[in-house]
Amino acid sequence: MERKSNVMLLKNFFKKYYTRQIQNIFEPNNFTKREFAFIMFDKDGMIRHISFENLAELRRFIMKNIPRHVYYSSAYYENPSSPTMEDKIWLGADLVFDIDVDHIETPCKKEHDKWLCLECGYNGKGMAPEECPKCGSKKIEKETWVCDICIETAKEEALKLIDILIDELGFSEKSIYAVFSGHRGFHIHVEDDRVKDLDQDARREIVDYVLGVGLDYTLLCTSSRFLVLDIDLREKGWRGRIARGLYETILESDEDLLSKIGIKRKEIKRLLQDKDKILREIEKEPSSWFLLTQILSKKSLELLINYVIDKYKCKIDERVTIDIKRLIRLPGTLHGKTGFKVMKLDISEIEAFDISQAFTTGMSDEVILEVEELPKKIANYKFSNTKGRITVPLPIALYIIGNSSKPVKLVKVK
Amino acid sequence: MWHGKGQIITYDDIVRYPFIKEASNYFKSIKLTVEDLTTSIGRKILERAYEKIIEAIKYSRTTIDLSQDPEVEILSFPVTLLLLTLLGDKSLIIKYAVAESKRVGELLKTESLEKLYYIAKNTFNWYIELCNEEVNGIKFNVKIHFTDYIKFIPQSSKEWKLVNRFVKQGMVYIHKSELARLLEEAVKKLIIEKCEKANVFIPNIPSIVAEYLEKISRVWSRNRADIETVTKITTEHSEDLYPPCIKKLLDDLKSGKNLPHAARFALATFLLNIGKDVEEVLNLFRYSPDFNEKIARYQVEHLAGLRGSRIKYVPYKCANMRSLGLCVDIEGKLCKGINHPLQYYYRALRRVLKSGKKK
Repeated sequence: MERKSNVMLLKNFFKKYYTRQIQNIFEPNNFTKREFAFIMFDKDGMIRHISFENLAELRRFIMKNIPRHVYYSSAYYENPSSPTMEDKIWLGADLVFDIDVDHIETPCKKEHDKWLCLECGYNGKGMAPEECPKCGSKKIEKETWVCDICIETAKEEALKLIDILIDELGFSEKSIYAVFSGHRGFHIHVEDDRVKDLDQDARREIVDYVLGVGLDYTLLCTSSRFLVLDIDLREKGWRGRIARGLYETILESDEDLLSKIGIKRKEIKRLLQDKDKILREIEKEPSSWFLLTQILSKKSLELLINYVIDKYKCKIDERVTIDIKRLIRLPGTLHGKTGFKVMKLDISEIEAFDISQAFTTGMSDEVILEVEELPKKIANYKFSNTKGRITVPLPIALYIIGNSSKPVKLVKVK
Repeated sequence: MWHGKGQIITYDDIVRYPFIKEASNYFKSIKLTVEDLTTSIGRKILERAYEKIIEAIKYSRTTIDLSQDPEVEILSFPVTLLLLTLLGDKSLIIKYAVAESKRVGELLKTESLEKLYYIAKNTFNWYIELCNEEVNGIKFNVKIHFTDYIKFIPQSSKEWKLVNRFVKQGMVYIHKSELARLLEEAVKKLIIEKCEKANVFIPNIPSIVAEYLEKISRVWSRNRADIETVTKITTEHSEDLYPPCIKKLLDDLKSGKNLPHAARFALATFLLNIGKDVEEVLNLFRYSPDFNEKIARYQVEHLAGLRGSRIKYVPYKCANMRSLGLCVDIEGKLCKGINHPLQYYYRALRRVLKSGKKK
């Protein structure tokens, strides 16, 4: 439930930000061919099918209306402001990947995420299930927060993806950039003429490549005899990724992990006994898998490879990449639920990215809030109290006000 | 008139491959108009274009007629596209595009790698390179940029998936026969695109052209009626056409027997492949004693290619049915000459259709 006074505080703050930082609004290429969309503070629903002649016009619109969320289309259209897709006439679209911790299992979620079934009231901590485990309803309310572990996880996935885009798919570094989404992830954009006209089926092939979907195991082996692996640690592409994944998994393996993967107890015992020998064999050039494949049955090896693919794939949200008419957040604007900046980053800036870079203001201004319950830590900020009256820096206060599913009372802005 | 590098494209190629750039340059230079179709040579071209569309409707394959005046043969291509555009029937356009691209595909297979490379680069603007490289012990002579590759993957099967290809620096390694197949797909898409995107406005269609349009329309609607009969038969009497093994599985299922996994796979994939949708198949599996909608739906959708690997599965062939103990006609009394359950079904279907026509 959002109180009016809280919304006003957010809106006032957004106004201050845009007044000072309007020059930071990003100009996508083919600007006039893009559709823009907005969600306002005081109106329900989304305002869509808007296009602008130039960046100045967009900036004026933002200053005049102070929208809560700002999006633009990854697609270019002949008539971007036509209300129907048919009249818009699709001309092409950038290739966009979405990495969002919402879709990735992380250990920190147990600390800061909650969900509630709106049908039967069943609730839990951590990653929300797709449907209620008790009544099967899909009406699930989530409250999710970001923390530094979330950001590290998302960074790792983003860098994995960028490696694939450059090393395997051959895109130039210049054609790729990242955008911090304003909450728990990154969008990776590829702007290359060769991807613009790809249809959904073609984009799905790219998604499947990144996710390792449909990978044929016989390609990892000599001839069609499954048990003879023929992959090398130093290879590129999925073959090398699986080789390195197997190596690392064996290196880290213990009884718990291997039995979780589904390997038989007898095999686990032998594998752990011969671990060093197996690893030394794999390190050879070319890698030898003789010992490993002698210990594991065909079934167990398959399970192990499945585990490796799942662990080493890039955890992207496939829907975003396949959708050729997607609306996506505009860099330089603010995320309306978190108050964080949506930020364009060069690839080289991802590694050092820190959530505080997305704060719109310093940590010196303070706000007193009355809250029902919060996680112990959100963003990079640890609370001494998680209930009742708390004094927090302004960016954290904005985040709590915008994102909390419980009532938050604004007591005082210092 | 046409200048391939080192004369790689010959006059014959323009007759055989009227979609290539050299051919369309030639069409442009001739400046054929609709009025020209009323002349005696124009009528010949029109007649030939008509024939090709009828071939596509009746035999799902077009031909080239080299015994005739090659000019007529060449020019019949743009006229065919014109007729299809004027008719504006999307399924007829696809029908023709498939038939014509099949004809082309077969010829392309026999061409030299250099010619295929030239057509890919010159007509379709593919980013393609000839090479002589060995990747993981396999020799390759061509590589193509992955964006061109994924646009023209001809079918959803494991071996065509990008994930199962050697991809280096954006280039996918392929064999010559695969290049021919990708080109075939590109020809199909090109024809469809040309007919759909063409902006033809002819204020006065000459009566001879109108006559041909009417003739095509008549043949096509008769053929469509046939398709409707097929749908009717397959929905009304479909179970009579199933092979005995599938009939047996269906009877078992309906009598509440619990089918083993392989049997469910065989039955579900068979039904999905003859055109039943996920809901119809799920409804049958409701007879199953341990039916769990959620799990069953997931599995059937998976087999239909809607989930996971997104590959539509086909049923086991007869040899596998036998080794799984699902075959009920091991001596081959009912299934003489059949080696796949789907083959049985299609044969039976053809038989019914023929007898239907005789009546």
